[in-house]
Amino acid sequence: MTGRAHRIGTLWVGVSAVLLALAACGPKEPVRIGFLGGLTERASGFSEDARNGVMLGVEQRNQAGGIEGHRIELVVQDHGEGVAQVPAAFQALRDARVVAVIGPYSSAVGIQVMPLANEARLLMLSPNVAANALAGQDDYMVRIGRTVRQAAQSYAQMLHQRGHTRMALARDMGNAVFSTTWSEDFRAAFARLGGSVVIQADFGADPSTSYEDVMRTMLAARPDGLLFIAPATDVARLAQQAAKLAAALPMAAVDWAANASLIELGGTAVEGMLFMQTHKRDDDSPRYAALVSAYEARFGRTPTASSIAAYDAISVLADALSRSMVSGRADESPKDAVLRYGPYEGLQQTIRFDAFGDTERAAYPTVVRNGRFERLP
Amino acid sequence: MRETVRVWRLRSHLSALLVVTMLVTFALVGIGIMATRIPALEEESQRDLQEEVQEMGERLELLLRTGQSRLELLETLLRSAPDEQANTLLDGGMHNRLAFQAVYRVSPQGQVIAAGLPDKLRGKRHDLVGSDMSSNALYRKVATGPGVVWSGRYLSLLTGLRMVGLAIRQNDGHVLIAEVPFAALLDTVKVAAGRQSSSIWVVDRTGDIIVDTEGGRAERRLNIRNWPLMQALLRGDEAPTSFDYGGRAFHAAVSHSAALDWHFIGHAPTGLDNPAVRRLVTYLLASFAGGLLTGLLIAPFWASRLARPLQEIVDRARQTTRGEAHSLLWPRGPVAEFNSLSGDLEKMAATLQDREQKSQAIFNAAPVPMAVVNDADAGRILDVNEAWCREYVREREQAIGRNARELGIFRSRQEALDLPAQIAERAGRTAAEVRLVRGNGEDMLAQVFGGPAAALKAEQLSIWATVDVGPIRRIEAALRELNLALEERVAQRTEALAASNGELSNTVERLRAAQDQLVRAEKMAALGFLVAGVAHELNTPLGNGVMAVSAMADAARQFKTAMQGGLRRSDLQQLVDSVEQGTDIAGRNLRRAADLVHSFKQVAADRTSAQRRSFELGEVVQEMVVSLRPSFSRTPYRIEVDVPETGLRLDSYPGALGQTIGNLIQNAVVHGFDGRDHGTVRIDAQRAEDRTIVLRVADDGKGIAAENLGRIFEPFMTTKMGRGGTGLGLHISYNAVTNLLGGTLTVQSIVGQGSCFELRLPVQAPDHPPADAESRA
Repeated sequence: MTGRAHRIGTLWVGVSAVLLALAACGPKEPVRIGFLGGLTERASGFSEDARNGVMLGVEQRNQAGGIEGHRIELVVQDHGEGVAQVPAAFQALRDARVVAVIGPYSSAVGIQVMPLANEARLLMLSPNVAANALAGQDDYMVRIGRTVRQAAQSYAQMLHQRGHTRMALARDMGNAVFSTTWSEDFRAAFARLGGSVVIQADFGADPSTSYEDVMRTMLAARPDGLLFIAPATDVARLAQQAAKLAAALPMAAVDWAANASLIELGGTAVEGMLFMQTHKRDDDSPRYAALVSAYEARFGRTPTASSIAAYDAISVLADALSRSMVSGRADESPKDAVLRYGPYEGLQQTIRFDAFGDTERAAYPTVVRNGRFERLP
Repeated sequence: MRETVRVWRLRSHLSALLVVTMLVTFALVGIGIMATRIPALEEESQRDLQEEVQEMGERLELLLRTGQSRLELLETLLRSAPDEQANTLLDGGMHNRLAFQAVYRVSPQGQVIAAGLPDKLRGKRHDLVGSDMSSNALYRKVATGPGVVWSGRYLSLLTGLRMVGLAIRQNDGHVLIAEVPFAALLDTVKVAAGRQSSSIWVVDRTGDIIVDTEGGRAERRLNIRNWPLMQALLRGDEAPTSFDYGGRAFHAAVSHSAALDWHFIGHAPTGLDNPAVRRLVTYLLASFAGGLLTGLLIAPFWASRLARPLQEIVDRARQTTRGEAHSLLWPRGPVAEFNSLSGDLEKMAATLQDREQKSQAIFNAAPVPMAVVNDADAGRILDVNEAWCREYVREREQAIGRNARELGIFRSRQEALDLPAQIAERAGRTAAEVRLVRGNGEDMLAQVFGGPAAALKAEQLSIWATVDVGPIRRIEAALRELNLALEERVAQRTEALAASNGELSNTVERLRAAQDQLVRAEKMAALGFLVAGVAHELNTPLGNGVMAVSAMADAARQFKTAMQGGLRRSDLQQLVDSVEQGTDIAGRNLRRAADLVHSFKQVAADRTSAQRRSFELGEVVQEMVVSLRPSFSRTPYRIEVDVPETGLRLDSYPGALGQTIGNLIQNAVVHGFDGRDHGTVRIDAQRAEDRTIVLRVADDGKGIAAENLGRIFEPFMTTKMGRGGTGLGLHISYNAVTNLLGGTLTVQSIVGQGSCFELRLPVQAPDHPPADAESRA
């Protein structure tokens, strides 16, 4: 009897050992990372490109073994048009138990999400939420892109250098926080350089607003240049109106309008439009070339600035989590990790965060020429 | 190590049997159903999915054709209408089964020249008219390629959103472009398709899920371009019929819209996520659980019902074992085997009871007093037989339930303690002798036999038997006394006998001495006789010799006298004649004496002269006959020899043998043929069966008288004493044959008919010990 009990005991120990070994050797708990973007809104192309950048980053990272052996699971969440569905979308991400979120891609959504993120202590890593209202605060919103002020200053600088003194602004009030901040910062910076904003034409708050009316308003102030603070589809159609009205004025638009939709909708009307982009298009580094070819193979199209920024965002997040795990700080929050373990090697630039989670990026002047974006020397 | 067997009640066994049988049946049937049904269900769901997706694709194509017809119709109208009516015409063409969001007329240069819009958006018309569409992918495709182009990724000029675009090129280079929002398109398709149970993704070439039928769950969140399924579709290969997504496996079915280059990917979960499979498994599990529950409810009752008769039998058997309720009936129930068992047990119980009564009867009838004692209960008596009661002079009732000490059977406490110890020392079933006390106070010397009762081992019973050995011991004592007296008498007799024996021995000794004296006297007599014989025999020739010599002496004296008176010739002649005669007589008589002496010497069988060698019997016989034949030639007697010349070889003494043969022949002639004018001596020899050689010397003479036959080989036995016979010839021959040659010599004779001497000779004469040589020396 004792022998039998002994045998059973041995068996039990053996089974336990095997189970433990399996548990130890089995796949580690995946790390869930959220993506929040407006995939079905007017500026969906921008979010879609960003989503693709994140997807590619996650897939590449998983192929390379994940974050210290933990697979990354990407939870993509669409917040639809406007901000009405934002809290629900955020809650859906929380329900999916994500450790951090890449996004959002609109400052209006950013404003909405920030208090929720702070409350939930959930890191939002946004490649291009750029409203100054969000900058300089110790919150859970960490930006990979420039602040609006930096961007506006670089535009003022560029336009000033090109000899503009009277700029007409068109602002998309569908993303009012961003547009307002941006235009104010630009106005201040441009003024410091001796230029002035002769008019600000707003649209977007009312869907029935006519682009032609907006353009006529702008032209009526007889500016020497047009600056659009709006998404690509709006910029393209405004440019169409400018062309129709034979304005023949140099045009510039905020960098996040610089994508394929602009060319497709704008056609010849957007030829010569200027941008100040953190995305260096003619980068011939092998790393960039590898990414471009990987992206094209994966999605059948070329990566945009939005894709690159999103790719950088997921790289920063994964690197930070990885470094945190290696250093053995199990209880460290992803936000602290991201801020502590910098700088990070971005695709084209080294990314450094200040104590508030803001970062400086270099910007390159870009122009639309023959239906393509080209960097100006 | 001994495995302990788990003991359950029959009811538990039966319950377990029923439940397990039912569950195993359910499990087997369930597995069988699942093994056959699940693949069928999966196949069915795959087929349904394929049909659904196919149908959806077809519906969409139909719808697109409707839209296309509509646009073509508009195009026809526009061609014939003036340009200023274009906007109105286009506005009117919006309403359609396939709802357009906007319709543009685009100039060959790519400029929008007219736009049709729904009522609420007509304010936007002036935004649109004049816009450049030359970079629009759809426009570029229709302007340079086929006359009709559909696009699934058209970017709306009106809203900036992606949607379906349809472009038709007119002959004059104008292009009509219609915008159709995805949702509107698919709602129409879905409504048209009717039932929709599966999830369908609409995927464009880039791998983006444009729309899904899951309420937007997958819409825009996935890009499946890198999935094997999508890769196969992009390559134009046969699409796989399954894929994994989110850790689950799905059936997949694909159809393609050529116009939009869209893929409809229908998918339905497989395995337990497939509702049909889940339903089946749930039903089976429910059946299993129901079966288990039913089994657990019913089995104990049934088992209890089945086991009850057996329990009754067990109870009855227990009562019988205790000896209770002999008269009660054994139970009968609904189970035949149990009834049979009950019947058999009843018979067995009756048999046991009979046997017990028989045993009791035997126990009581036994002449030996016996008691059954329970060792486990301080040796209390369980039963005693009648012989015990008689022997111990006690009542049975008095004894039962008490032990020997309480009954006062032992004389002392010590004896009571010693007895079992003695028995134990002798290893159980054995006897001890002890003095016991009867009920009436008499002492009793008893031999007590005790030992465990094997049949009743369970209760540590032992059986004690008592044999009163007092009378036996008394008889033994008497016998012992008798024995002692007898031994004494025997000793006396033995002593007397020893005395007699001594006397007898003395007498015998005296007799033996007398005998020896007699023998010596006999020998002396024989010697005397011998000496007398020898003297008598020698006397005659010696006397004759003396007489002859005296006569010669007389003659010599006469001659001397005569010589004194002168010598005359006649005197000399007379002397010479006397000397001659005297010499002759003396010579003959001296030779006779010498012969006699020689013969005496032969009597001693002087073996020194005997030479041993190997020879043929025939040779010796022949030599002897030849040497004797001259002396026979002047007699009427004949010798016949029938001895083979060879073949009868002996290793012996030929001299002694030849002398013997000669003596026998001489004997026949001298004694057998005495006074007869004819006679034949016959000599023959042959080998006997025992390898000895038999030689016979027979004559047909007068034979030997019966009274002489027994003494014929004794020395000096002769019928011719003083008549030339020495009486030593046969004696010498007998000695030579028996001693030297190691054979035998016998004689047979019939008076008047002849005698026959028979020699039996060994082929090898015995070796003679050196003592003989010493004696010879």
